[in-house]
Amino acid sequence: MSHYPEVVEKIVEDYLQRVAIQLKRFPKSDQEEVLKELSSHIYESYCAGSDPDPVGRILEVLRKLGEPADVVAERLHESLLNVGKLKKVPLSVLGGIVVGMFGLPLGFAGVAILLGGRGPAGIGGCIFRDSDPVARHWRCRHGIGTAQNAQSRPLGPSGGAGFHSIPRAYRPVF
Amino acid sequence: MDYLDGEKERRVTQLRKGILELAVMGTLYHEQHYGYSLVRVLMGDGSLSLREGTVYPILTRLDKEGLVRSEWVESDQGPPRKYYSLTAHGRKLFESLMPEFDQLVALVKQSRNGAKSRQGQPLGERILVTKEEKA
Repeated sequence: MSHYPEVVEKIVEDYLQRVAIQLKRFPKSDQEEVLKELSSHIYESYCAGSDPDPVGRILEVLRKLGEPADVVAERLHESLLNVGKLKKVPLSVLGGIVVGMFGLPLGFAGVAILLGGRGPAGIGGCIFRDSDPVARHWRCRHGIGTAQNAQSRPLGPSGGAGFHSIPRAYRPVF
Repeated sequence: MDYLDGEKERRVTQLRKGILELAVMGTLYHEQHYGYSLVRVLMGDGSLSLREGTVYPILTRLDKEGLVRSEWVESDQGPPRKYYSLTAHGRKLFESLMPEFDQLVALVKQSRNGAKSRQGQPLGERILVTKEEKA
């Protein structure tokens, strides 16, 4: 149902159409809300106008409201802020991505260094002071341990003979 | 002159942004309004040159922030009206903002009066007087 004389109706429709074009980037619900509110404002302002000429009166209403581009531009800032908020990735997700990208490879690398660098017997050897001469020899060949430390911390009586039978340069450190 | 006009316009826009938001909250603090009636109250006697569309983005933002609530009400005469009122959170915030605003206004007035009372004195002399007063 029209609330205006025919000519005024056309002017209002044209104005709202121009606003609608400017609003194309907004979410659909926002577009409808803005147009509905503008329609309400235009009608109220038109009714409150004093110009006896309907065309002159509606043009004055639209002039006070502003150009469609300006009306939308003022809302654009708010809308962009909201879009930015929606697209903001939570910190926990970002943290997960960082851990996934760097943490896991580093973790694997760490395990690889631990296992690869010392060798399977190397770990056990350090912890348990293994008496396996092959493992001990392997560690010595790869430079794990120094002769100096070996001298200052000799093994107990049980492993003493075996230890001293190894050449000084190849003696491991425990 | 054009440059000065542009500068003035930019600063007036900046000044209005925060103050207009406070004025909207202050108006809705006392009673609910629909868009056009709120614009009428804010414009007063028309001495404030304000584009009427300026108020709506402010209302939308306040609505989204939960400081204002809105509802569409059917009207007998024309299209439905969207009524706005301040929420409890909005009222509380407005009450806490008002003293801050008063302080800012007092600060601006004070600085303006200070400048007026020493008009005619050279700048260096004014600075010296201020230092002596402080001592």
